[in-house]
Amino acid sequence: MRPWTYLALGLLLALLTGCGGGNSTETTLVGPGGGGVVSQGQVASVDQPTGPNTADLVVDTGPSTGFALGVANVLYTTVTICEPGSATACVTVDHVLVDTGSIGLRLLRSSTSSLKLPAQTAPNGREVAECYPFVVGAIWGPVARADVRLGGELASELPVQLIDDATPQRFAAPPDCVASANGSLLASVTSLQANGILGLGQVRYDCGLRCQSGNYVGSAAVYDSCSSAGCQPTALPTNQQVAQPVARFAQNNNGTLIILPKLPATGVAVAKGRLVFGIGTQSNNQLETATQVIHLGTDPAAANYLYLTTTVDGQSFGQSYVDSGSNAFFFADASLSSKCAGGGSRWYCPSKATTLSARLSDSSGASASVSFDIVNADGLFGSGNVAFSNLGASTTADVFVWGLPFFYGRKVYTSIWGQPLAADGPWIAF
Amino acid sequence: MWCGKFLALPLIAACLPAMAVLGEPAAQVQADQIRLQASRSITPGVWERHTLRLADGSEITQWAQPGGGKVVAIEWRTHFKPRLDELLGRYFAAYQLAAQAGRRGTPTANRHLMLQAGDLVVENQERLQVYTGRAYLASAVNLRGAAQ
Repeated sequence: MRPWTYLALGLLLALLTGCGGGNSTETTLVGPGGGGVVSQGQVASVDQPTGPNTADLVVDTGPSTGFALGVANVLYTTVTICEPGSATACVTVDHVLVDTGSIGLRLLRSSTSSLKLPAQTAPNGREVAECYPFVVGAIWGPVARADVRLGGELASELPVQLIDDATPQRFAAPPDCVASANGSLLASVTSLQANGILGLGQVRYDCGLRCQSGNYVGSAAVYDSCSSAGCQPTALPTNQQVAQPVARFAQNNNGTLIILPKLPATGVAVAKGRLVFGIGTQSNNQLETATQVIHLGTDPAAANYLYLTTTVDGQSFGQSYVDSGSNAFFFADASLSSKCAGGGSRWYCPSKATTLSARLSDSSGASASVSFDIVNADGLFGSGNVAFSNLGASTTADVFVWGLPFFYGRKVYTSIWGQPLAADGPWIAF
Repeated sequence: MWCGKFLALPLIAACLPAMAVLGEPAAQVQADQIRLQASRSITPGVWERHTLRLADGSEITQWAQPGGGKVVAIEWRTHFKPRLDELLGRYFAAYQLAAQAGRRGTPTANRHLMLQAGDLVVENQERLQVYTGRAYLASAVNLRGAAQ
């Protein structure tokens, strides 16, 4: 991608132009080691609703080593994790990535080292460790039980993964996990671009029946039982697997609502929004009259499993989804130039802003229209801002990802399959 | 690599061969079928298509030169992240290097990876419990042609 090129350009712009103007300005952010102005600019905010079923959201330069990471459109929140049953043996972790495309809380083990969290145990009594596979890499570390507080909500004794960033690790990662990680595990703030990941996706467990059976043939093992002698694949019942925290709340547990501000075309340095728990459970999380609901496919053998369909200019993308963890609109459009000067070849860099119209639909016939813009990624990254509603990039032919740019200026509801309101299948609404 | 980790599983107690891999003969597909406890269909054509369907709805398709020749493309839609070290064989090292380079500055949760490393092209994505992707040898096949 572009980190150093754009960091340099952003620094230059910041020094030349002062701040980005607008309705408010952000406090100057200081880079690693306290040296140098990294970014000044406009802040866009949504500060409603409030209440015990809400939490803060922010898109900014990230954890303390922030802008050096060079990523844009990463959505963060703050998580408090406690020893089970304790209100005082807790740590609060900021800049945890909010990801509606994965399941479960994963925090760097070093950030919870002051806590005595009970280990999750396998049927053979040994400690459980997990190899959780993302596409860009895999995460390895022990599974523990903790009380997790998001805003004013509590998930008690939630199985969470502690990303093992210690040397030596609690347990050495098995070779198949390292291979699944493309040779290098994601185990640092730098590699994660966050202090952890909060998976708020649309199912309740991060693995499900495959891990309950323990038959990992064809893949790396997800759950291992570990001892000083090493780790071996293990079965793990679903209710002991790393789980969607919201589904474990006593109330407001059927989904989430993400609200982010509308952004100017050049983006902003900081975008602040609200994460609301529950859908239709409180006065602050009701589905509004104009809200459109799109269901995801529920047949595991079908090509549209957990996808919706997006159509743009008559072209259909059958593997489409709304995802806060993706940082752009990802889709293939040969008419949009991807010849960016400063970044990788996948960003779109059209010579002028391009407005596109799309239709999201499901197999029941429900549909919704969306208009969105793609502008030159070189220009966006060169602004020094990090929150953009018009950043696009190419991807595989059948895929259309409505990443974080989709969320700006909208209320996006994400239901959890199996919970009330989505007992027969998950849906998104906006 | 399979043997050590799965000896405890009765259905795969024997040390079965690795997957049919990209660039190698397709002769292993039958062993894959047994190991994955999958059904198998073979569709003749310019490229012979071997499709393995698993009980959980996952599907892995391999395109090979007719008569059990070289595998030139692999496509998957699975409920687990497939072992690319086994599917890509001797191309895996190049894939790893390209994937590590490609993820710099990429958010962890970005769900797709497209890369070319020499002759190897890989497109890979995941979300929730769905993994889809394809890998092919650019010199040997145009995947769109193979898919026909």
